[in-house]
Amino acid sequence: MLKQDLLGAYVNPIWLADTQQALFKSLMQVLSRPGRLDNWAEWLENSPAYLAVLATLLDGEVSLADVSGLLTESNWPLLQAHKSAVEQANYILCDATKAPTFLPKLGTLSSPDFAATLILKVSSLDKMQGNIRLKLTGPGVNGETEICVSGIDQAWLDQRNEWCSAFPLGIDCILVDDTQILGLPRTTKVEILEVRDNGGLN
Amino acid sequence: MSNQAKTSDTPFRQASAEYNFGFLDEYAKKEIRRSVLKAIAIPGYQVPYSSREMPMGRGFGTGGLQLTLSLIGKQDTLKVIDQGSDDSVNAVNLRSFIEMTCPGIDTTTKVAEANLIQSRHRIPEQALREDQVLVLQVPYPDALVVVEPSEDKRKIMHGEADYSRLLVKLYEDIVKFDEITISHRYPTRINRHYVIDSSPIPRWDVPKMNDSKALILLGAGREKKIYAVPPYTLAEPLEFDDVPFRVEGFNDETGKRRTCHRCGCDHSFLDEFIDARSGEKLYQCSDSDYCDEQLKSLSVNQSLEG
Repeated sequence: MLKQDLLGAYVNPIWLADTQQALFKSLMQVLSRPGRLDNWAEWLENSPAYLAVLATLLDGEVSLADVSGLLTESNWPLLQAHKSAVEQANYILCDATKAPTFLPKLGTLSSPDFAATLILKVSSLDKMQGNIRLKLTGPGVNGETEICVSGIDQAWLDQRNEWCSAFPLGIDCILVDDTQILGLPRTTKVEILEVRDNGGLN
Repeated sequence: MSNQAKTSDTPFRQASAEYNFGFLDEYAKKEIRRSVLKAIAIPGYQVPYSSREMPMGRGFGTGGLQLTLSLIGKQDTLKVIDQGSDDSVNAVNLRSFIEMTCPGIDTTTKVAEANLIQSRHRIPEQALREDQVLVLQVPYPDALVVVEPSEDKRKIMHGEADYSRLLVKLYEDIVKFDEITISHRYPTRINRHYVIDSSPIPRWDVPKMNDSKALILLGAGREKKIYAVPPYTLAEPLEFDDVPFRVEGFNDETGKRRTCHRCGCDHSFLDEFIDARSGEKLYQCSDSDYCDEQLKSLSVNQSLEG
């Protein structure tokens, strides 16, 4: 359902402050607890989940690179972020089915927060079923946890692990499917347990 | 303590309706939110942010306040603590400011009811849950400031996880005083890399940061830094193999554990004060909510027995 903003116009809720507050709280929990899946379906109103992530985080102070052309021209003025080359971008939006061909900002030793945050669009995230089964350990994970991802080129996971190999340098990833969100901060150790062709459906 | 009834009665409170929900504008909130995510992703690293002017002096908890205002929404229930107590002056003022600028939220004094807890100088005695977030107000965010005045150099030392000079300071304390003299804001290593200033919580509370169920966010308004201890993360106070970390002791001269004079609790952090009339030393739980809860369960037990 479209919501009314302060001036009375009907807009998609992802652009409204109270929705963004709720989405941020979910995003914060998801990044604090890798392996946790949050479903944003009730907030999205047909918007893609990656657009809601961007709407929650971006404004005119940061730069965005849309590597795979997922955004429409009309999204940019609302996001307010300036376009930037992928090597310099603060935020990078990618379709994860295509292997990465760039080097994002990894931060510096004294300012590791200068690193990029990647928003990766995958086809599905699930606790049980998917093409690639991952084991996650590290801060925020109580012991270890598993998650299945479909629609991601395996090269992403290898690259991500390489980029994050020298802590505190590294990148932080937010994986999204149509409605669900998964956080993979640079501290998370990601191991590929199994690669399946049929997505675990026998 | 819903603020619904109170918000409309004075012109002062009405004026607050003309401010954005949460006082800060949405751009300020977004910047703080982005910094919070970075802080979580790099546990213990102090993320710089542009701490906004607040209608109170820097050093009165503006860092914690800006975090709270950026996180809070109408569904949230907030508890504000100052030195363990909900009704000391810093807690009362911050709470009433948040109630005034965030119409629709609830506030409480009970840890169990709150999902957002802003605190100065204490972590509640009652264990926190996964759905709770603890925000700590921090006056001095950098543990290295006692050994290195230049922030540029401190940032390099943090990046390299070079804490040798801090360890030398602790060693010198032991040589001179037979005891590490840092009583509160004890340097604590997060996820085996960054050492944080744990904010002025007593040593008693430092072990609560280790493997915590709740996310802990720390905000320094004057120093413009945000850092975090994510849940289920290693938080180790600095120590030596032969001089282990120890928390405050509450034993009397005879070696007996002192108890709270109010609720009789023998396992909480105690405040010492002098009774004005008798001149006697008294000990009382520093966490007032915990003390009340203990007192309540005590009276329930007594009435069951009686």
